[in-house]
Amino acid sequence: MFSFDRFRHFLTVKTLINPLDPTFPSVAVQLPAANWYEREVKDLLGLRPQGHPDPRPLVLHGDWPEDLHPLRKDFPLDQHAPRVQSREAFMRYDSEDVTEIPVGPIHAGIIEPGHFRFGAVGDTILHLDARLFFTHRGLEKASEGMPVQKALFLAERICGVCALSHSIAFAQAIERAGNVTIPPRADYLRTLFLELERLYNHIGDVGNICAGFGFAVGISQGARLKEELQQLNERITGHRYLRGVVSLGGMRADVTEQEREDIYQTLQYVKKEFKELVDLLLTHDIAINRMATTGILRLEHANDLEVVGVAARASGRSVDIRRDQPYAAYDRVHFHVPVYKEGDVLARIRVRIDEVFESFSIIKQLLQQLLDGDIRTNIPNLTPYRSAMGWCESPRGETVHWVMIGPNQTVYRYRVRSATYSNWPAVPLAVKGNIVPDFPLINKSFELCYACCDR
Amino acid sequence: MKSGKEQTADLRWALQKRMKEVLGRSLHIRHVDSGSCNGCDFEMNTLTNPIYDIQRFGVDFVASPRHADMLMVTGGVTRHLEEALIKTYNAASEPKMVVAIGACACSGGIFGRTYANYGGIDHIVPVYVYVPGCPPRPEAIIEGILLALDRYEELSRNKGENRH
Amino acid sequence: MFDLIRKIWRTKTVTKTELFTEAPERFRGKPVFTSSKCTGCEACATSCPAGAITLQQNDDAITLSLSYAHCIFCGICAEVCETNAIQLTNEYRLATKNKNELTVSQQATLAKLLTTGKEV
Repeated sequence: MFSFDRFRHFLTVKTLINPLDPTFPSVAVQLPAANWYEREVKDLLGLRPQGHPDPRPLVLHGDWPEDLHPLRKDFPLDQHAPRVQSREAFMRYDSEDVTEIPVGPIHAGIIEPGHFRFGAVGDTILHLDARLFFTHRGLEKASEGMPVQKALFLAERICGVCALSHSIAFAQAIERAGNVTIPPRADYLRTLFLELERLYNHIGDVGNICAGFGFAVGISQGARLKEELQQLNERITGHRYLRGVVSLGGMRADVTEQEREDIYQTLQYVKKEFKELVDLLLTHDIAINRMATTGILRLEHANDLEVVGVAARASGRSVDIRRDQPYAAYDRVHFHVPVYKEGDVLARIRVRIDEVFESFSIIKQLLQQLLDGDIRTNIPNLTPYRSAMGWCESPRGETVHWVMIGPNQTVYRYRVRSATYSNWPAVPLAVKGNIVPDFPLINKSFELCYACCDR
Repeated sequence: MKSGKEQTADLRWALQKRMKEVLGRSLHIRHVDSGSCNGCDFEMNTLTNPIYDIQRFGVDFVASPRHADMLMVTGGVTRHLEEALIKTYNAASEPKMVVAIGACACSGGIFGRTYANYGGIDHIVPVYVYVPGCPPRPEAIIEGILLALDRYEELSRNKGENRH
Repeated sequence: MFDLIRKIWRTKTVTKTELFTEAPERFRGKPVFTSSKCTGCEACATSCPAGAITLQQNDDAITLSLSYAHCIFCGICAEVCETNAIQLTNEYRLATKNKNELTVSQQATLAKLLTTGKEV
């Protein structure tokens, strides 16, 4: 387990656990953010937190045998576990006034799987139980024993839309383990592509939020601009989701002078169009009416659960790992971190809108500063059993990868903490007291990807 | 031999023509995420944006498998979603046409077979069309849809043969 | 209300009128294999993250099979191949009804291997 503070230092807390009695004292009551982590180590490693208030399984669902722990080294990767009597439990309501509404895991739209159980009084949500980890693919186990070069592509496929953030976080972890400094041009290119990733995500999200209140012009315009940016991605890197652009020790994709001009021109156009979209959206009474005061996440809750990314900044929690622990070329560009206090859907959208304009400005600075030179260095032999961390501010918030190197340049252990993993526990708190039809809107405003969280 | 320009003009209307020929009017698709990284899901969403606007051909994504002519499955079937996939497949109307989108659905892709992932949807349900790619481009998905329409022709031909 | 209509009016039609247009030059699509250039070094097979490439060496021939179903189109194979025997094209239309069609195999004979100056 690890934790860190805000003074550009990381603090790792290590504890030894007796293999014959794999238990440790739970801190989840004092530190609510530790809740999920403790339940996860119980599921995957069989380390039991003593005094944890929630005994339900988390990552592995209730029909997984309780005594099998897939991340233990004696568990073969492709072992098939029998299905057992389900231990799944949801909130039970004694009152007849509470209606239980189960939704999912397959939803009506083209979205990812999750099971939600609303306890509603009339239209108002009293409690939300979210059952996630449906897309748990056993990715961390699959990476064990894999050469680090190949594991990079695995990291890239944790999530479709934060692909680049994941691959850069993984590459940074490996580079840190091997004490490699990547060439300055590669630093700039990484920053450039990361901002392009943020742009297509944020602009797509601003358009998508309009689907929450049926604002068709907004949906179409947002989708159109997102497509424009994805086509730009494809032209300059060969992939619409920016996959395959990073390599360990630098970059695989470079931008030519001509492509630099292409980026500049496309962004000029998108910026102008996006400004018009924002003006339409923020002056539209119905849109504001639906978004303001809906789904408020309070600052205390955001702090207790260590919420990150857009959701944190919209609730007055000023965290941005680009500024707090600069990586790539973020210490060489100027940008402002927008923070709003309201914590509602509108605040989250405003944060995104502000960040889009910040990204335009960052990219402009990068294109001016872009240095000539190499874009790649070699990775030396990595010392086995050395561990390192890499981090990245994905469009959804900070993503942290921890890797322990194994023999022969392989991965020995791997843990991914995506922004979504930190933010999911906050969603049930934000929907409380809202009406059921507003849930899609609130959920969209957090824009959490399930695949990142479930791995 | 057709000139290049004529060919693109043909392709442009190919989907619409085929759709009319085979189905009379429209095709309804239900998406099932069986554990993908959401890249393929986003590309399917892209098909409904104003650039590709697949609805103009009469293709639409619907909310229930009961309304669907076709299931589009992404992801390599995780242990937790196996039941959901089977239930959706059973709920879909005949001929239960399944299209596998992306490397994970086709073969398990880079994840392969793990304790939580079956590695390919054809282990669980029969697949009619495979669309490789990681993720496939939106136009590659359209090609997959076009190819899957053959199924209806095959079925009506078989019906005709049985009658004789 | 009027600003919405003005916006729609000004955007005009953005829908693509041609389907299956060519992908950009940099797009990483279908990998193709030129057997005459292959030296049988196996660099592609060992570096493929998805295990989509297999090389089988017999006494006098080498068979390379490539599975598009497994391929994640990362382009590492083309990057490590010293003789450019494997290259990524911008072809993206790969959908098929027959899964076997997704695996392509090609043979290169030993004579060819010898002319490139490498022995098996």
